Amino acid sequence: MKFKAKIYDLWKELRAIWAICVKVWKDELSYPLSVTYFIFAPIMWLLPFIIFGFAVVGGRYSPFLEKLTGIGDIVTYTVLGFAFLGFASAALWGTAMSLRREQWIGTLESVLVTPVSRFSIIFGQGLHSITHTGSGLVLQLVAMVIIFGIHLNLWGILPSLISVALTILAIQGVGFMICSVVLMVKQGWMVIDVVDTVFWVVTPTAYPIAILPVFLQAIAKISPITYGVESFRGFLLYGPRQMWIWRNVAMLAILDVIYLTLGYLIYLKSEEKIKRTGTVHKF
Amino acid sequence: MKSKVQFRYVLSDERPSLGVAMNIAWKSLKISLRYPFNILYWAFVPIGWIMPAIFQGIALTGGTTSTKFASTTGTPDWLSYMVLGSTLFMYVMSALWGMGNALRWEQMSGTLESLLVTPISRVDILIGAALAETATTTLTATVQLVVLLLIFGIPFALSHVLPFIVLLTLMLLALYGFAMTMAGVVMVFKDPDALTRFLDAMFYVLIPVRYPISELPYAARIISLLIPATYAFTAIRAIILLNKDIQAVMNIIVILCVFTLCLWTFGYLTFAYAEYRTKKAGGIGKY
Amino acid sequence: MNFSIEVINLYKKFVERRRKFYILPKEKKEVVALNRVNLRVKRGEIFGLLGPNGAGKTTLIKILSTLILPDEGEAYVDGYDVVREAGKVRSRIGLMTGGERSIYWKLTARENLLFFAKLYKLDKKAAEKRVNELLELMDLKERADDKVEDYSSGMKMKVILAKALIHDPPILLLDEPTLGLDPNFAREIRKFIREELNEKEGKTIFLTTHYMEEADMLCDRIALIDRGEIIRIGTPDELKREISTRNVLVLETLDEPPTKELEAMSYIEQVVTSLSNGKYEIKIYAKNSVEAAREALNVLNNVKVRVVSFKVEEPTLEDVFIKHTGRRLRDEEQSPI
Repeated sequence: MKFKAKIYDLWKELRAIWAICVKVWKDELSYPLSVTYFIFAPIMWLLPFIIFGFAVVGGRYSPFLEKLTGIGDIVTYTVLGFAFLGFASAALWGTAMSLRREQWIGTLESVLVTPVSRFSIIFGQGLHSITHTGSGLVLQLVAMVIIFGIHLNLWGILPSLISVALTILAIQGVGFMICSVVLMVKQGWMVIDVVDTVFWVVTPTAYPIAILPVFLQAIAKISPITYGVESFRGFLLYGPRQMWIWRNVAMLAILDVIYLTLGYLIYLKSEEKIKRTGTVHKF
Repeated sequence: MKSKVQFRYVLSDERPSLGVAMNIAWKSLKISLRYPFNILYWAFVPIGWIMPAIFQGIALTGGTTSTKFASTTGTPDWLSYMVLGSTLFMYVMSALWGMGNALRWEQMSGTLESLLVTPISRVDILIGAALAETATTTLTATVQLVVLLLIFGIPFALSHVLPFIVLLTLMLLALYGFAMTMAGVVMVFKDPDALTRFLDAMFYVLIPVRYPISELPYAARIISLLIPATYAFTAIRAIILLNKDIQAVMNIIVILCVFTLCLWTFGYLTFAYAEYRTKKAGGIGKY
Repeated sequence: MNFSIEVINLYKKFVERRRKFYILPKEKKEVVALNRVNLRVKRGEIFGLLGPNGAGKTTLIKILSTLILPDEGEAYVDGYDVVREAGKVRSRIGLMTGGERSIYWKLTARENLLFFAKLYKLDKKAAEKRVNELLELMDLKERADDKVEDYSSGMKMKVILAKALIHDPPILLLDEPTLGLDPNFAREIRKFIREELNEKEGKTIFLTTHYMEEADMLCDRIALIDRGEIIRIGTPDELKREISTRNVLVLETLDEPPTKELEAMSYIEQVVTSLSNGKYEIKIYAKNSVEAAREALNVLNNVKVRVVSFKVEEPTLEDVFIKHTGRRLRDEEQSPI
């Protein structure tokens, strides 16, 4: 009986997550200009990296890059890294800003008094970001493959989705942590931007982490996106048979557990604090 | 009965006043400073934005110079080239986001009507926003430049300061003319973020922030030459990295002056028209 | 010039274009907010514009304050054309609209007022003096250097009113000045408007409201507006005298009343029904209250409608409104009187 009740509760939460995701999609689709921007934006932000590469190297091939990473093609290395990081970054923003967004438009209190778990509320918005940027990721990769003639290992596509899924989970954990800080600090987007900027600096999108100063390498090594990008790129270029790629996946899975647990605990503490101080409604 | 309300009836404006613009700028700055994270954020986070590009350059070239780069820009020092470009691009962004979205911010906060009901020139509101943004950006840009100068040793001499300020001011004046148009568009269309971000991204590709425009395809190069910042960036780099004097960039100074005149005229008219349209539609207070 | 405000044949239409989905064509919806409105406000009077939500009150006040452009017609404030001489109009008016959010919450009251004082071209000394005066008048001196975001709603409204007075304008435009305020504070604001701003300082006050009691107690003259049209203009007494020959019977019932059957009765002229807190309120207008009451109670008894209360009231401004429009001034919102 208890088990059935728990399953039913879980089903209700899943429905709530879906409903929130659909609501955010509907909001977004009512701004067609925004939708258009988000389709083209990833490609526009990628272009300076590629053009700069050509400007300093004189072509697509960099012997220095090959020595460091085993991949000499600037375009292939950068496109795959950039696409993945763009996706992860958007998932982070979507999750971390979820409650702040409600707070800003004034509906947070109404939402928090519903029987839905606040994690479902956060997941719901996160799910929207993931589906949104997931479609962007696919579009971007297809465009880049066609425009720049990148060769992908087709056997690696399915395993690469494992990297994507595990990274999303870790991002949710990081997102919960940031969500809490954001609700308390009230300057939400800046907090997320700081974390996002750190991710952009330490993630091996256009360069390997060996290039970074030691202290940044240490941060890179505890960032789930590092392992996400390396495994994603690895699967798509080399297929599923390379052990070093699966080691990255294993590391990612460990970080998932750590970040989800930490995120959950930190969020609960912070919600308790803002309820005690009575600042749920303030923006 | 009078004829319908036409645009020319509302074109006339109050006389602009620097004092009023400064008052608005100071108000915006005060509000910004009351968000505790603001100062720290704007001082240091933009440094993080440029780091991926620097690390990429190091990974691709094995150092901070490139002979290929020298053949197209006149200097092998891509790092200094990029640092200067990124610092200057912050001013481009401040013109887009600052003035362009200032009214939008007032609209969303609910204070736009309070502002527009006072007997001030519409130009004062825009200039005030621009001044506030420029002040914030100058703080950020200075910190960024100093930090990167210390880490990477960029060749910035004291003799460069005056020509740098002159060229930067001219670039900003021209950009603010464009930003007036943006402010008008933002007032009319209630979803400005997408447009501003799109322009932000597009400018970043087309303006020589990290690479010379000769690396762009032909069509993109033509568009780049229609942006005043392209000329300003080139001139500033010529002074600082190639040690040219101000005489060598006089043609660019003239071009920037022409841009300023054209863009301000166009910008003022489009903003006035946008205000007219918004008031006709009754949408001043709505967001 | 004896009129502070003159509105001549003012016309304003809003067009909304909406698309249900990307590929479908846009649907156009037109709303006439003001339809050939004419009115004049004398110098030194308190003039009220009374009407339900969506009647056009805010549109008119925004046209007078130069925030909206009319489509046709003319409007003059203190003799200046609101379209062609907008700058001069703005220097002659103080506007209170937009609610709590029309000031900067991250600034203190003093900073807000000093900021706006400079926009009204007051020099530093004059601005500081004026700000101190207003803070004293509004009883905000003790909290003047606290950020507005920490104020109560009432205090925020005081700052907004002070902002409208910063340049000592001869004309005040107040859009629903007591909306959302608690009854005590609303009374305070009304007293302040009447005694301080109008009687003592001689300001002309043009206010909009949908609270009939507020218009009745505060205004020298009132214009009733509905669906963009002015229905009647006059003093509260003049307007009520129009229907003084009408008696107003007010019944409360637990069941839905048969309105058509009631209106068919010979002594009953007009019936307006509304639902509030689970009960129906029936207002019956009749020349002969005794006969009308008898008819009404018979009809209700025949259809087994349960009557909870019954009273005879003096006619109010709402009754004047109902007479001309057949509708109530507001839905079931309670006035903060």
